[in-house]
Amino acid sequence: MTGRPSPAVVFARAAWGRAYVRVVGLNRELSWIVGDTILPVLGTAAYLLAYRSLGAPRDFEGFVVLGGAMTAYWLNVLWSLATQLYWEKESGNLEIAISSPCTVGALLAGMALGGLVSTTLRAGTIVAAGVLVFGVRFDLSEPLLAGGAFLGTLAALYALGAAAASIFLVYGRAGWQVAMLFQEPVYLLSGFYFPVSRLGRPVAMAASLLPLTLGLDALRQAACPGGRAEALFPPLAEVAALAGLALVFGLLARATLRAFETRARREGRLTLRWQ
Amino acid sequence: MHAIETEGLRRVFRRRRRGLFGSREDEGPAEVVALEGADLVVSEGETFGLLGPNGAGKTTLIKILATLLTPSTGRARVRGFDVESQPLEVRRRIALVSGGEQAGYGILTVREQLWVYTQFHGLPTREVMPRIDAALERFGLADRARSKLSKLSTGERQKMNVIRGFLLQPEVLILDEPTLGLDVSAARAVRVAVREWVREAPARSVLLTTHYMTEADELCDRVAFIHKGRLLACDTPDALKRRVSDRTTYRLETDAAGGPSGDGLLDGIPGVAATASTDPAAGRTRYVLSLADEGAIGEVVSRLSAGGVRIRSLRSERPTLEDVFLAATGEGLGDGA
Amino acid sequence: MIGVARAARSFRSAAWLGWSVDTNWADPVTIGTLLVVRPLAATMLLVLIFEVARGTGSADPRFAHLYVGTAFYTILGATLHAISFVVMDDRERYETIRVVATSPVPLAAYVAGRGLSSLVNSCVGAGVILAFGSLALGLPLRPAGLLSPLFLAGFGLGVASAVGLAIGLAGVHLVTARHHYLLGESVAGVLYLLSGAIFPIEALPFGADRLARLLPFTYWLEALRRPLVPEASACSPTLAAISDATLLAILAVSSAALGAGGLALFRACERSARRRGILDARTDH
Repeated sequence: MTGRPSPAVVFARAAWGRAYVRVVGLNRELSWIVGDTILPVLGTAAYLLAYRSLGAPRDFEGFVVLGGAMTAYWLNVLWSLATQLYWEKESGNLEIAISSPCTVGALLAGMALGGLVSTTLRAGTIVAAGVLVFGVRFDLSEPLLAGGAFLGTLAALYALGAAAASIFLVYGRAGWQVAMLFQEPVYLLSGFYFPVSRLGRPVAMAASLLPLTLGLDALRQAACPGGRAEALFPPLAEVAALAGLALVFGLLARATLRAFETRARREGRLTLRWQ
Repeated sequence: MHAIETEGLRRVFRRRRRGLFGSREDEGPAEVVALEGADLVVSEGETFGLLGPNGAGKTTLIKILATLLTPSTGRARVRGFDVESQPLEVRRRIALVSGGEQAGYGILTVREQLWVYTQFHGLPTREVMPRIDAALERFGLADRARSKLSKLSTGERQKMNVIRGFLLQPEVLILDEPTLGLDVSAARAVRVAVREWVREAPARSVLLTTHYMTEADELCDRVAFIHKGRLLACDTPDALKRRVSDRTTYRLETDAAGGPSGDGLLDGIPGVAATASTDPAAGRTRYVLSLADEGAIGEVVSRLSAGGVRIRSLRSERPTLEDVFLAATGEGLGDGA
Repeated sequence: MIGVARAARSFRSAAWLGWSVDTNWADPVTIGTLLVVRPLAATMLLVLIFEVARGTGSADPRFAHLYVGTAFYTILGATLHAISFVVMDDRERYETIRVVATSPVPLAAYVAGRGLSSLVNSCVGAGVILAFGSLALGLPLRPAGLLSPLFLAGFGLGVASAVGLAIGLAGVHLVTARHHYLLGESVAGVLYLLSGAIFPIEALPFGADRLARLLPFTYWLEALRRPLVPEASACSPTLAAISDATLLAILAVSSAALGAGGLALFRACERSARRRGILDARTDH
């Protein structure tokens, strides 16, 4: 028997093991081509055509396409990260993982990494379809800013998803329904398909606690013609705020995962199915 | 160092009246005592069996030891580490395998799934892959190594679960009904593998729960009975069986037709009480012999042979672990609580 | 007759079960909140898009077109998802489908009944959206239109065709693995684009408006808009040119075709699943 691996090694290997499940699924279940690319493109197209039919300026079409692309990450975080522990518990995988030396955080990191691969494909397809099929124009004048905004958004968003996932260590279907409650309101509050500044400054500032609100606003400023005119805050400030949110949500996730795991062990809910 | 040690372990499940956002929860008794003051010691190198009917508290005890549940009161230690305050240290040293387990990712192949489990323990891929292949070969699953989990039968799935337990190379292997759903030969393969695995290293221990009395008898150095949350008798299987009866019973059948009968031949053998009944239609005489010392059976056979009596059959009747449980609780193992 | 009675009983019991499953996790106030928030948020998103793009307020017929279309589309989306998902839920999560499948009740009636609770909930949600539009946003809604024959007949036919399509999708779920669980939502997404829910079908590019004219849901939304906000009907010249009677006739024929097609698809998939022994298979990923 070899020596025991360090916690960091266990974390890395467990995360890679869990990510592998998602990555390999991409190759084996080709139905994702329809579910993850064609259908989301059609959904985004509906909003794009709504703008077009209402006679809106063309600049808004870029807003819609970027919103559609970032929707993919929001749905991935909501349904494949934040709520995934529900399914892990139902299938018995959570029991096996918890009784192993890896942490729940490692599992979530793996889910996030694996999910990022398919989601990036989905988001890329939406942008490509927007440009090639619908002739949407982008102006990537500040690629570094765009990159920073994109990575900052993902870091804060996935950290928030990990914090939300901790709920499912204790709760079952009730948590699932709460997740359902968030899907559309976040579309609205984060301004997925319109500039968030149009919500009015007080509402938009409150909505800035959601990483996608600032992320989308910064991305639009960096990549869309007309993005600056609809801006909520200067883009660099938004990127800095996103970094701060990522840190805060990361720490929050660590604390809630520990607290909820302790509570779930105390109440006997780690292995409770059909709740 | 003990492999497992529990002191006054008690677990009470309280029903929650309100859920998330004030939602309603199930109605029912306010609390259920699943485990009541369990004191247990499993030594290093020991295979220990925990027997009891459904709802007796076996799974609760196992979940506490596997760090999935905390005790209400009392303490439990695995390899000296407290399950409540040092769960990570405990998890590094255990593997839990439950019968009928359906866990896994249906999209993966058997080989991949086993590899994923080893990654949860941080084991290096280059070391575990040959072990996975060898284990699949040993359990007759080599031809299914590249089959997706969703295509496995119940028995194949359970074999994979058992393989997972061995692959993780724990110090304490917790087996909860490991042969559930397995056919006779596969169950035998599991038992052989458990025995060999324990022998391979002196520090290895097994905690086994099973409904199969012969399995516990065959595998376990000691067994304990658990009933309504309480640990009852705990000893070696032989010692437990002796508690039910300190005498050994034999049933002996002789050929009564066309030869001498055994009348009077068995009188006066020390420690042997015999009752006989003759069945003229079948031409048989049947004896029930109660022996204080099992060695006296040799004298019985010698006397009958010397008297020219033809012995048709001879078999011993020993109390089973189920008899022991029945004597201890007044209920059979199948009488689930 | 015995078969119809049995199907009706199965439908009723399944509807009760669906309601219990949907509601036993929360108290009525919480359920009510969740019932309203989702569709209202989705609708407000469209309202904001309208304001950003056009800014002409609720008096603009295009606003009424978009608003009423969105409100009723929520019923279509919820029905397709809820009924088709019953198969996944009962097969993979509760593992009860084998009990239903081995009983004498018709599986299609059970599936439809089990999803009824979500359909009713979505109708309540649509009502709330319309009331909100009328009271808070100044939507020029004619409440009397709710009792018009066009609305009542159109509503019934449209819901029937949505249920028919959903049963067909449930059938597809009988022969597919769990990861296809978004099928209902995906098809609903396609219909969102093609049935003129948020823009007139004339705005569809690449000749897709011809596809829109084949769908019962295009006529369904028109049959609901016309009595409630007559001026919104003019937004789509193609549909405005169709008389009420013709609209209902087209809707009746296309709904019947979709309903029969959905049921036939379900039966074919059920036969296939039974033949392949996968009716109660857990796919686990």
